Amino acid sequence: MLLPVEWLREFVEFSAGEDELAQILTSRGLEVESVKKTPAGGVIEIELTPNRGDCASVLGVAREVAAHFGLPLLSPSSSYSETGPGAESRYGIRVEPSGICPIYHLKLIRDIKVGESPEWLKDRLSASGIRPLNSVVDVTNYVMLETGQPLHAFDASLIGGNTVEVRGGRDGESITVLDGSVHKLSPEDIVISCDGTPVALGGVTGGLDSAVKSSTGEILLEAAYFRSRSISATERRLGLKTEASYRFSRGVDPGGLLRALDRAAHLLAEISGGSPAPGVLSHDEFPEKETWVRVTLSDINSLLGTELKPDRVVNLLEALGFKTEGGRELSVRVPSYRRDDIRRGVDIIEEIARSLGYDKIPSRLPRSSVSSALARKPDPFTRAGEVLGAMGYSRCVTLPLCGSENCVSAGFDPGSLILIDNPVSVNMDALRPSLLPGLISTIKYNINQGVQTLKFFERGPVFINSGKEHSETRHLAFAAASDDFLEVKSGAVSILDALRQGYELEYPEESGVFKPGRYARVRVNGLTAGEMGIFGSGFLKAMGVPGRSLGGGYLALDKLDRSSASFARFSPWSPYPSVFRDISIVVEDSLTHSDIYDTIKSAGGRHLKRVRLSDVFTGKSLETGKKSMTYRLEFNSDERTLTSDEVEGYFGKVVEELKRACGASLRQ
Amino acid sequence: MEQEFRKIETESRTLVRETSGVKELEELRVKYLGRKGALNLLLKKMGALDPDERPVWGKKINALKRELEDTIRSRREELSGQTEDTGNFDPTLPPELFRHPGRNPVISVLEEVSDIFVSMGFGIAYGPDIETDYYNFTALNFPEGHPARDMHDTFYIKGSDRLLRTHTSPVQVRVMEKQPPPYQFIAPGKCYRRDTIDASHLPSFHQVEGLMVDKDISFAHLKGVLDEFARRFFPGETVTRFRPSFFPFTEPSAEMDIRCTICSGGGCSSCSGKGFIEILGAGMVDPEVFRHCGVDPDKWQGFAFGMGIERMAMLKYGISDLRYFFQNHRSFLEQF
Repeated sequence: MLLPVEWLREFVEFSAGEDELAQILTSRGLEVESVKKTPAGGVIEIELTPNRGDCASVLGVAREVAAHFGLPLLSPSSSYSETGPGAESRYGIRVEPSGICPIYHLKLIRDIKVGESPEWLKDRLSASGIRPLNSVVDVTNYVMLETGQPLHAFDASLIGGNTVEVRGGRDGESITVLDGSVHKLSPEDIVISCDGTPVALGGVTGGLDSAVKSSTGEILLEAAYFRSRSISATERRLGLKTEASYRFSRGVDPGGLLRALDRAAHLLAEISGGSPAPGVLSHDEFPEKETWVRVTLSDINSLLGTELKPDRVVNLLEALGFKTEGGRELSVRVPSYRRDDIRRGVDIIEEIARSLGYDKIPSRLPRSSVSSALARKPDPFTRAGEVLGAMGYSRCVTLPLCGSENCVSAGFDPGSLILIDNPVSVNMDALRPSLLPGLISTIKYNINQGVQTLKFFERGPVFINSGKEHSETRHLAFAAASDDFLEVKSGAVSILDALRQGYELEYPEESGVFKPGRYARVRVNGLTAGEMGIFGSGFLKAMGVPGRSLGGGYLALDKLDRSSASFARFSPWSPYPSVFRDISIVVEDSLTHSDIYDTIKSAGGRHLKRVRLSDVFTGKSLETGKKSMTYRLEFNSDERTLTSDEVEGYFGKVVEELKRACGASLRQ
Repeated sequence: MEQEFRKIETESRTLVRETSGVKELEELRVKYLGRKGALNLLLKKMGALDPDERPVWGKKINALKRELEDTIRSRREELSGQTEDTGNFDPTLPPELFRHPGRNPVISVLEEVSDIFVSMGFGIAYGPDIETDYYNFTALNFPEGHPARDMHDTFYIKGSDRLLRTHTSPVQVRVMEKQPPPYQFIAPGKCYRRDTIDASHLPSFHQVEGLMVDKDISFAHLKGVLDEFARRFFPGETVTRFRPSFFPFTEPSAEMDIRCTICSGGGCSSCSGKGFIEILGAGMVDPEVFRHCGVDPDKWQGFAFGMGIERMAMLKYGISDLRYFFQNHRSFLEQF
């Protein structure tokens, strides 16, 4: 909201400059966004919070400034002389159903000469961000800016019939509004209608057909009180925000309608030659007239942490237009312009704090009481990030939203996606079912940026629609530019080992987004807890990185054992030296490391502590279809030094079993 | 024995001191200390001695052995230092470096903020990203149709009455529903707002919200805790300012600003001329919110606060554009 400071000075005679004024308003909850200095004086821009409809006007802000300085608030002149018969001789108002609009006033003004407004008025409108149109429309806007009460002027000759009807919109009905746009109406909208035809969208904007034109000679000036909720609903539904709807949706002063009409009549008589008819046509069934709120001094001081005395509290409130009765037990009468916002004791306490200034409230640390139920537990998965960091992976945070079409073409099950009803773009119309697409996009972006080190990981939620429910689970995923399956496997397995997590690996043929044969699945406690591999070309093509070699994997953290990583137990190691034996064997190419490893482990006896593959070799010195594998076996006992004879015995068994079970021959 | 020992002692000491080459030194080492060296031969001859004298001579011979070992070692170091060519090595060559992949600034700040509150005795609670209207709005006193809901442009889930939480405040409701006061915890996590991406908007970002409730927690405590937080989080002298604001779930509501560190309050482009920079929103928990959660507002009172983590990271590290946070440029990530 833009506010020319010289207009403000018309109602409060303060001497502070614009910058000081800006500080004061900000400290009272009217946040000043900017101060512009123009030749005609300063213009401040205030960002109003939704609860302060009372300050959506020059007079409202002037009231705050007057309260701050303890100065009187002056009133604008609103005198005029009335002529001719009253409006009721020709017009009537019908509000149907009556609750739809609690107060509706019409004032008839004859002999209008529509022309151009005087410069001072046009200047103030322009400085406030409103384009001057003609002397009638300008006055309604001027009075709205000044008092906060939106007004609307109908050309009386252009409205059919004699009854102005306020009612809900009807299905099938539509209206062309002032800006020329056409809107279909619904029963939730409030319509001003004459002779069955909508002439204005109540609380939002007027209809084009009944607008004031240069030929207009007689107008009906409308001042209404609509409920804020119904106006903000219409605003949202039609996507139509106006200066009027801005004020109605924040709540206008139900006690200020007649004052605004008088002010407008005064100005119209002065600048447009209008002759106001006596009185106003009224529909007024506004319920309670006064709001009283009770609050005790001890509540005030307890909530604020202050030691305010009763007379101080009374002064603070009365400066804002509240009336009070009592001292320690206060009854406070809320002024009509604050009745939407202030209903409870705590609302009064806020006004006291605001009026006092938040800087006057002490700053004190509470006595700390640690809540054990919610005490932070150590993160069981920190090591996963440490391992990846040490391997050179950077941690990313990608957006948890993704494009459903893209996900489906990349191979994700369309039924498992959770879709957004009102996305901002098709690239972000679903919640991510996996962290991998985000990581691939990150790699793609970095490739385009010429980055060399392409290793990224992310830890965060993924979202799956299981049909019955929307599940959110925590994943950890990594991806890198690599065509080496073992490099990827090293990432996943190193994490699991660092977490002290027991697991099994499976190598299924069906490999999802990964390349067949370059894929493994992690099983923990009988459940799939992760996958890894080199990404398949179809997936990479769908992700926009065709022809690249990328690999990666993920772990479903919720499926891992949380205790294994965070709770370690000491175990002693053997003080006796290990004995090492190397063995090189030649076996069929189809035999896997895993088969040989298992054979060695089971044949080696209880003192065989570790088996490590040190070399795999195929080549010209070997028969085709054969490979040579070299293992290093470590024997050790916790109780004594093993003798070499003993170790020879164990080793012999291993050799024997390799020959028998794996068809291995020893390589010299 | 006596004579022989003395001879070896004097001769070996002189020769070792006077040698000028590493090769000769090695020859001397073999001559005196080798397996068949002079001192070992002498040890073998001890069998002929009187049993009483054996340990005495044993000690003497071994002491000389150790002495010669030491002098030969230090002499070797002296000699090789003189003769080895040092000119070929360039110690200014760059070693192969481990390039630290950096700490993600959002995660870093999220953890730092959490650590500060944890050290002040706050616990931590989490909640789901996919929320109900009730937890996200109604229980937090955002009435249906109230313009306050416009402050939060919301993503809704298709074919369901769920939405993506617009703040982490629903966690407060979930905790308060489940257990009785007092409370003292923060709720970190992702939030979602229906915004198109630009320099100051992201459709998903992170928040840390906090809640402290007890019999006598006041606005003065709100100021105390948040002042303390600001002092610890921002480097240097931090000046805070609290000003009235509006949130449906707090009353009174406040926003905390810190004095702009660039212009010290005078107004500059970093603070859009305001002299202060907005840090977080806070306020005393509205009695309606307590009532929705089954907490008696006549017995309990307290404050809540919330801050955007990306915003804090921008302020702390001088990052000018929110988009950096989700692009994940390696050169960005490696900086923190």
